[in-house]
Amino acid sequence: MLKELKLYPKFVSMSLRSTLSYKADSIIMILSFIVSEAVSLATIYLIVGTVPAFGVWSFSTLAFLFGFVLIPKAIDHIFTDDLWILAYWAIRHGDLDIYLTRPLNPLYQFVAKTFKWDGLGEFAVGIAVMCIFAPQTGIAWTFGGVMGLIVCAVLGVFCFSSIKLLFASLAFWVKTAGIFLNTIYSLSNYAKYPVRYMGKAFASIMFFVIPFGLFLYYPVECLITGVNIWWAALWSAIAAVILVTLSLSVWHLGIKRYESSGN
Amino acid sequence: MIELKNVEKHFKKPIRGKGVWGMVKTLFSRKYTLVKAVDGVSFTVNDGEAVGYIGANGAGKSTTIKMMSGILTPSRGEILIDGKRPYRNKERNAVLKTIGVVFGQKTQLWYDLPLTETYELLKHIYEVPEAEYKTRLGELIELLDMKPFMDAPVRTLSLGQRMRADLAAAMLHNPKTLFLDEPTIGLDVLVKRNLINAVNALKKEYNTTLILTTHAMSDIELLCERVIILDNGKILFDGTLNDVKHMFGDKRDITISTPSPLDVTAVNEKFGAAIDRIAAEDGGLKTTFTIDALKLHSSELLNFMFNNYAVADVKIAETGIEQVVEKIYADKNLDIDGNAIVNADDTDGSKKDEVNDGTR
Amino acid sequence: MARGRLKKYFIFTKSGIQTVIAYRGRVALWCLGAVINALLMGLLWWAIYEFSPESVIGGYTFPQMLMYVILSAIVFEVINSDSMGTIVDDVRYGLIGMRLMKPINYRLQLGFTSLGSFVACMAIVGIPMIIMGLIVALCAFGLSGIVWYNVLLFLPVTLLSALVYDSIGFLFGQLAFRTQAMFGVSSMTNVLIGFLSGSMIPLAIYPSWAQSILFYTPFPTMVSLPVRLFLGQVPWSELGISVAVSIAWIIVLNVIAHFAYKGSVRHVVVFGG
Repeated sequence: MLKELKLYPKFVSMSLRSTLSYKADSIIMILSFIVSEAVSLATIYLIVGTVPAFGVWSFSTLAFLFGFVLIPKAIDHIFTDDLWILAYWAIRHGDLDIYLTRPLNPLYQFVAKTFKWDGLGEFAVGIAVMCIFAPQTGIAWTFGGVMGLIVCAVLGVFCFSSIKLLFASLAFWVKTAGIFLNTIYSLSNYAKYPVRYMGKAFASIMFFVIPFGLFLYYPVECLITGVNIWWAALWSAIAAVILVTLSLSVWHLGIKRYESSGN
Repeated sequence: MIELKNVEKHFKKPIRGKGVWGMVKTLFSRKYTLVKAVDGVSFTVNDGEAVGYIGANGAGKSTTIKMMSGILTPSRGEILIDGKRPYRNKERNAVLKTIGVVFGQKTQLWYDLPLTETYELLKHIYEVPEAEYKTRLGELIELLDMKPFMDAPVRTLSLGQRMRADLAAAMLHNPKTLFLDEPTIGLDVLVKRNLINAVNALKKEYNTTLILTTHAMSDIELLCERVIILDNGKILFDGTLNDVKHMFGDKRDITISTPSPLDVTAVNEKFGAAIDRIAAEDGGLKTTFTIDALKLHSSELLNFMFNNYAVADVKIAETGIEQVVEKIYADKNLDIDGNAIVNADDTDGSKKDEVNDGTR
Repeated sequence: MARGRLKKYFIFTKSGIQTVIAYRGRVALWCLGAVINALLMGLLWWAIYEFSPESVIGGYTFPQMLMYVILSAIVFEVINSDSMGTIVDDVRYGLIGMRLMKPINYRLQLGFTSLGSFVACMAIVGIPMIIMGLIVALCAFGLSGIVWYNVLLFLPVTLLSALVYDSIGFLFGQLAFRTQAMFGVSSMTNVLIGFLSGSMIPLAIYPSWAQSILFYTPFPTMVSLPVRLFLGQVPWSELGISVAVSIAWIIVLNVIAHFAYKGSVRHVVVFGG
């Protein structure tokens, strides 16, 4: 573990310098992200605007939720963006081979090599949206509340990346892992909506099966409804432990399969 | 020392159903065909040896290399590198620190950065002490003539330069053994020669054990004393380069040029079956006799020719390993790519080198 | 252009069809994903309608809204053209040189291929899904307003949409010659077209100023028009005008794209592939 930690700054600096020659591309990526999220937010605005009140939610509170959801997504994008490559073609192209010949954890090597700094732009947008709408939400802000939210965000990163890893690892078994990952990823966008109103079945799935609702939506719902946010933190922690263990196990099974059946 | 003991590698190829429903069925079905990519391979390589590992596509060469370098686990049998197994979790890392791998079709260099960046990273991964790293890198730059392109981003390098850089990358941590999986693929003749000479220089300098898979026989002739021929997962031949040649006779091609078309009747009468083949070109002005020097001395044939014909010019060529290996495959009715061929006497060896250019 | 000269491009149409048939599993999965997305959107609308004092929002009852959302998702997937993707691949793998050497108009080649993909997508995935959806809807909600001639007109109108999408894709695909970040560009165009064309949410709930501006753009004709036509919400007069707008845009976009492509070719010739 120590070796991986010591090596990480080196990987990051190499990634940063690699992308320096592609400045225009990074700007386009940030622009594309802003456009996507703006459209997403506008959609929410238009839909919520058709009713005078959406339960406990108003546009401001939904916008705040929106900003919060962006945070773990952005951080995950910064560190683990290469998981998309794993899902789509890394296995078939034998990209993992060279990592297996080195005395260093192959998953670490695969993920550490990309540090997508345009994710920092996404992170900033998330923070900005939260700050803009926070005053209008009518939430009674306390120090504990803010800390709780931050803890939830951090745990959310682990949950989010684990889910990505889990579905990306399916690539060891099927060729369509990329499509599954894409579908699951777009499911995460629905955590920006009032999950609890969208039917018992959907809410159950979002809370307990693929728990985007649990670690993205629930913390903010707690703040809005006055429930202690540390309950959300607890749930997020439980989810994080389960998801991290599960995803790493699937990855290990996948690598074992790779080593026994090639690609 | 590298030991392979009855190593087998089986792949289960599921019998795939067609379409989406077929895909779902395949996930749940247990029907599969067993492909034995490596079927009972045993050999030992001593320190400092250079072994050429050749065979048709799909014969199992890359699979064997992958098992030796920690990528695949053998289905049966054992691989020991200095007594440790590269596929066992506890023994892996120790083994991996002593080997270097070069894949001809893939690079391990960071694409957008200069070489030194990748080398620094490798230095940390393999925990090479700074002083040792500096000396080593200096030597490698010198040996492989890399100074002109050390500062350029890797994406701007030519294939030959990149291969040399990959070679240096694999040698940075002073590995005892170097595995080369088709390192000269896609390179033109001159660059191929340079790269192989570079590998040779490395081998001499550091006494590295070398295991090389290739389709280019010229690589082996320049580099290896020992040849292992793999066919359908089994070892067809394991011996020295000379042994291979002599196994199928020590062939010579003697080409005689004459001022007027040559009438070979007298030659045929005298030597008959001792001559394997007679080929005429230029309307009989050039005649090539293929003989087995173990059966008929070149001097006998030459003396006869000089005494009975007006000989303008003589050319003698020893058949290279290409033709020998082709004969091995011809004897099994396969060409060098493992495809069945109709005419087993096809000895146009030169163009087979270029067949496997291109990416995977 | 002589009809004979255009005829040879139908080979590409055939290849477009064959490609979709070969990948029909994958195509079906993508469409399924879109439908699932639409259903989730439907859940959101269900929640909204629960909280709404009125049962009609933007002119749609909940069943109509659900129908709109699902249909628009399917239409959006079917009219999707891969011309941009082809250009990106050609540039990345240096095949542009080969394209320039052939005596074939690149724009027409890509366009006719897209035509084939559209036809095959529609036939294999689009129509079956729409029929399934219709049956479910009629059983569950008993939708009225759907008339046979509108349903028939739906097909050529979606064809026009596919042509517009293809033109936009080709035009913005020219950026592939200038930048590597085409993933961002294609994602942006996809998202923007989706939003502005009314896929997922009916344009009726957009503010009126937005609707007025959009009227002059090709976007509403791409998804909103064919879907509302299918549902029987488009009067003849509006249909005529919208089709005219659509055709006008196809012409305009291709003219611009023509000059953009010429510029790209010059760029390639000067700087290399």
